Amino acid sequence: MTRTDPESGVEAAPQAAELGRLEDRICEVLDLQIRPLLMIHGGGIDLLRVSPDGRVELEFQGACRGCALQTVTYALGVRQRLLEVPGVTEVAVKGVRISKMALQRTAEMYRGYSFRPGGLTGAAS
Amino acid sequence: MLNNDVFIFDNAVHNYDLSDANMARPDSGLDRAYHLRLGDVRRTSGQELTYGNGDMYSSFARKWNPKDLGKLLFEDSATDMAMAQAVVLYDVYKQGFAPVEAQYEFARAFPDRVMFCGGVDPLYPSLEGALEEMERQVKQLGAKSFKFYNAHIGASWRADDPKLAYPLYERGRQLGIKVFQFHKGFPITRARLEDLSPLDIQRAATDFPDLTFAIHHLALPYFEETVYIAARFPNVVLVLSGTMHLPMIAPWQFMEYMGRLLRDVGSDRILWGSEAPLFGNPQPMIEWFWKMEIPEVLQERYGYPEITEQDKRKILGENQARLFGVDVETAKRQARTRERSAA
Repeated sequence: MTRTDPESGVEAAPQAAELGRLEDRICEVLDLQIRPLLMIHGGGIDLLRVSPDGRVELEFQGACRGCALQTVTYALGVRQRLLEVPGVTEVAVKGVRISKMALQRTAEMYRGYSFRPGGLTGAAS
Repeated sequence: MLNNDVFIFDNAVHNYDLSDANMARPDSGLDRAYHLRLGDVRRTSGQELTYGNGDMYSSFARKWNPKDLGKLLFEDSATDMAMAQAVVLYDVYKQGFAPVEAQYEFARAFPDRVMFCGGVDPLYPSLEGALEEMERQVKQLGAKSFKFYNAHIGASWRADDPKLAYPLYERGRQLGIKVFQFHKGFPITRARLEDLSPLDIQRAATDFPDLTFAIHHLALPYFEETVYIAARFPNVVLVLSGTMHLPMIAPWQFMEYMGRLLRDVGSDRILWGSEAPLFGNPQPMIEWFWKMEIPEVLQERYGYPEITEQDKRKILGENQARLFGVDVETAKRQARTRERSAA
């Protein structure tokens, strides 16, 4: 159950329990889907915080720091996957900056494809 | 200050001596000519009249002094503070291109606005001599950093040489120096380009994680290498020295560089450096940079992020202030007081 702030029009913060459940869902995706792939290359990622409105902040670790393909890992391997988590509205990795156009392009190219376990869904299925 | 609010701390100015009297070899004029021609095409027209005799070359082929450089930087541009960097090219110039004592004199003339960056070379005359000179420059002249130039005509040394370079960092560290700076990329003498590759910074940055290594000029033409090095090593900073004047000639190229740096390195480790007075008054470039944007087509094609006002403030002065322990708000208050009293 969410409320709307009458002044800003923004949905007010969910209850702490709801935020906790969102963090659990994010951690599960990080542990099962994202970190295993990063670890193949000696990389890693830490969850810094999740805001009540679903914004997720992370930080690359290990070989991901300074990697030439860090922006690709962020846009495709991290952001797209986490945006599939219900409740997640935006994903940022500390120090990684790419244009809105690049993010939109990634989102459009992968629209209809799901990273969830069980194979591709949508456009390719 | 720009717009009475944006703090400008220039990392690289040189109270240089390009006079005939300072030429070390019979053919040193060739090196001087090559170096100066770089500036000839980057200075906005009219500066040969404001700061010289009407001729673009000979107006700058001279020995500068604190009065003229102070006017150029602090009266005619929005620059608040600057670091006067020694460049000891003893193979070409008797006292170096930017002599140690001349940089010290400039810092002494503007003690609240200029920091002195010393310079030594382990090949001239020796490592032991360089170490002693470091001691003198810190203790007697107040050096806050050191600038190195690895390539000479017929000789060179590497920044990752454990026997030749590491003692310099160790002595500097003992003396309280935290930032070591390197000219990298295009030579300003007839030295070999490959001797100025930035690749040797990697091992030094790894072995001295508590020190900061500054790569000047984006090490052009080794831009790719420079980006990857800076991305991998958090104790590496990049100075736009020389390259910040590129927009006059090739604005698109500069915007590509800047977009790439913002995407892959971040704005926290990019420093403003004008090379004044070699490239003339930096004011036109300060104003251009403040207005610049990363064009949408670059954002679209390369994913480069937009450049924000915060990025520009960091690059124009706040990063340099952080590196050298200058409180920006205090410095801005001092600048406003100065400007009020000058009005």
